[in-house]
Amino acid sequence: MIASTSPSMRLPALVSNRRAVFGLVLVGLAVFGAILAPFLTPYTPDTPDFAALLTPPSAAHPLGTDDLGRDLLTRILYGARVSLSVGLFSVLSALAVGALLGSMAGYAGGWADAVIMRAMDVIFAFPSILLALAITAVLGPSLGNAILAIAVVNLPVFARIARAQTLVVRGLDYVEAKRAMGFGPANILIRTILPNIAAPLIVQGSLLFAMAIITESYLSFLGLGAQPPTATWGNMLRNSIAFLDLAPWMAWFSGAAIFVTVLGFNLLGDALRDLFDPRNT
Amino acid sequence: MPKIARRTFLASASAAALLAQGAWLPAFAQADGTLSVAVVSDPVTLDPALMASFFEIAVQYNIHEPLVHVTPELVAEPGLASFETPDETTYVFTLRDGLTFHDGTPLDAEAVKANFDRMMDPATGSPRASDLAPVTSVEVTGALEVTITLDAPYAPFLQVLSNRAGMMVSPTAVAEMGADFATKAVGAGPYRVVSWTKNAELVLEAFPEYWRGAPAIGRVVFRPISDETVRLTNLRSGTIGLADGIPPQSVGQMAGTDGITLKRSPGLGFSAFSFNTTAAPFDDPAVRRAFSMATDPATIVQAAYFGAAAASFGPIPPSMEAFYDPDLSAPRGDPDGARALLEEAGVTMPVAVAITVTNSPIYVRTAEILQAQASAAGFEVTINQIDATSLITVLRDRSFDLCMSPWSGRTDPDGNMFNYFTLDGPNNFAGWKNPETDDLLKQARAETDTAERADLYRQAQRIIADEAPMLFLAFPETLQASVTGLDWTQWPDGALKLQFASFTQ
Repeated sequence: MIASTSPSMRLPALVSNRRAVFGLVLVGLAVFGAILAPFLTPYTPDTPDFAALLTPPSAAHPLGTDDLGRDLLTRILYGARVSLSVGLFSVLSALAVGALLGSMAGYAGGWADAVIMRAMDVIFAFPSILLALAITAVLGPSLGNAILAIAVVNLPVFARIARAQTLVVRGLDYVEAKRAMGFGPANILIRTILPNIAAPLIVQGSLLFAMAIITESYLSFLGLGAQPPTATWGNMLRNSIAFLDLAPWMAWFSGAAIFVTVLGFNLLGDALRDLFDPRNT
Repeated sequence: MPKIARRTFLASASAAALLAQGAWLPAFAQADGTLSVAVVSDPVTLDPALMASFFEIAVQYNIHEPLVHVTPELVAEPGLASFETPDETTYVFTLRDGLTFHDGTPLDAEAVKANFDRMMDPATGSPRASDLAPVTSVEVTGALEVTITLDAPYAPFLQVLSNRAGMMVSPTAVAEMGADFATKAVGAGPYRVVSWTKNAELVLEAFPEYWRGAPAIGRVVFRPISDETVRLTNLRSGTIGLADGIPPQSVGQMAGTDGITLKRSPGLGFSAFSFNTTAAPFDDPAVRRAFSMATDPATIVQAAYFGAAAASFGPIPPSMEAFYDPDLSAPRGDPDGARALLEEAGVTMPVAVAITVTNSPIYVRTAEILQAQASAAGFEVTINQIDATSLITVLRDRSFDLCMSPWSGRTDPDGNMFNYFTLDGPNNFAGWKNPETDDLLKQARAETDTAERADLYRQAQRIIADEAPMLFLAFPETLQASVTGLDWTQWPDGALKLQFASFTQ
């Protein structure tokens, strides 16, 4: 009964979609680089080499070095770990909390609905970057706080989608059937409604994953994300600005890393949305 | 009315010059002879009695004129007043005849006394009060003559009066404007304030009654541009004519750029960090010595300043020739030695410490270098980045282990040491209590013989190098650049005195 939109059934379709494959390859590249970083490079990301400051790309340093002589390729690979985990943790936590709140609001209706959704509206009312900035500024700059800030910013998006979907699903026969069988609201919500509203949330998640990487880079760029010497794509890009004339490769490659990964997640998200769209079969 | 007449005059004069010579006028020098200056940050206040920020140095001398003038070689000369010292504790200042403030108020002995009274009045809350601490009385001894008596000889006095403490403001304007004075400032300097839009532009126009004669450049606009790259781009495009705070990594490139003149001179200040000597782990001198030993000023000079600095072991830079101690040194750049010191002191390693810096690129870079070097010696270093505006609070609250405490420098060594290392010095952020140093610095302040003074500072610097209340790294050079069509003079502390500048094309 819930198999109609299960991703596993559509996997062959996903692979046959060229955009999706391209997206998967780009995302795979970033994930692969992040996991295998220590095996792909002989350098460590944080150890300065004062004999090799601002070296252009060469055989020893394929992407050149930064202002402290650190290998850029190494920093981009290790930076992928930070950027991807920021995306993963912020989106997963926003998705979990948002889906729960949204479906509760949608299922319960009445004052619970009003309270939860007005609270979400308050968060939504602030421009997302401004809100993320405010949260990290108050909590202090660190990677954990950046993840928290991005999760909070994304929370209402998931809550709204979950609520809208729940409103559709709660009147359907299989929900009525479970209610008639005497199951409590918690059981119905978690076992029946959530699995049936998962598809649009997953699509939104993959798109927001890309946004989360960009937001982290903004925060790091402003010095509010991960603290030095931790490499993240955002703070590498920020650091490159002072050296745009002297060492343009610093900006090229850290910018390219963000671009490629975000593009990958966007393509993947688009393809997933097409796949889950019932009109598109 | 006179304003308009003057601007019209200047405009026609420049236009005439243009026609006569058929000369090319650069984009920055508009028809009315305006110079745009890019500064790192907006001044906090325009009232010299209240100035306490590094960012006012570029602006202050254009609006305000001090009693004493210092040359770029740091020699004290008569400014608004000539001076005589009948004995070591008496200074007689004779003002030039016919001086007025921007608002027409005469600058006479009464006005000078009013200024000193205001700066020394606790109600004003002026940071100048500590500069003027040895002053016991200021008396009007003639229409243009003021006699200042000190409680003890005070060697840096003339240099102090060449800076903010000697800048005279109009007493009538202070009385009339009240709190607004800080944004409008009526002084006796070469330019008067036309308008100030915070964080956008400070517009000044030439003061025709300035005692050296009206400045050659009719109008000056200071624009705060905090991003170093943007500052350079604006200079290259000719949007601005003069830029303060050239980033050291760009020095090599700027030197070879057509149409741009880069000026560099050894600075008066230092790049240093304060250890918090009031809390573990840096309350133990052995741990401070070990940290200092692990880090290497030579690397900082090379990797953070790209060579545009001199290595530093203490607070007095080579530019203060008479007082610089070339033999001062401390064991540095030796991580193994540092580790041995820590072991000897019986400290559990790794020693966790945090370095606090603002998000200025050069200090973040410096912190990362310190982190790498100290880690090799058994420290576990984290970096805390804070907002530039929180720096002074963090330093005063001592909520740090090791925090950047850069100093722009003063023209006298007293200015680089007294406030930092005396027992209750306002810049003793380290909380370091060393009565011997305190005593040496107080003696040096009262010693008028240069060789004797230099010896006292030499002794004090040796104690400081050994006890390491602060981590000295570098004496950064002052780096400023202009378009080639501007003739101007650089002062070692980065002060801009645009009465000495002119357009050459």
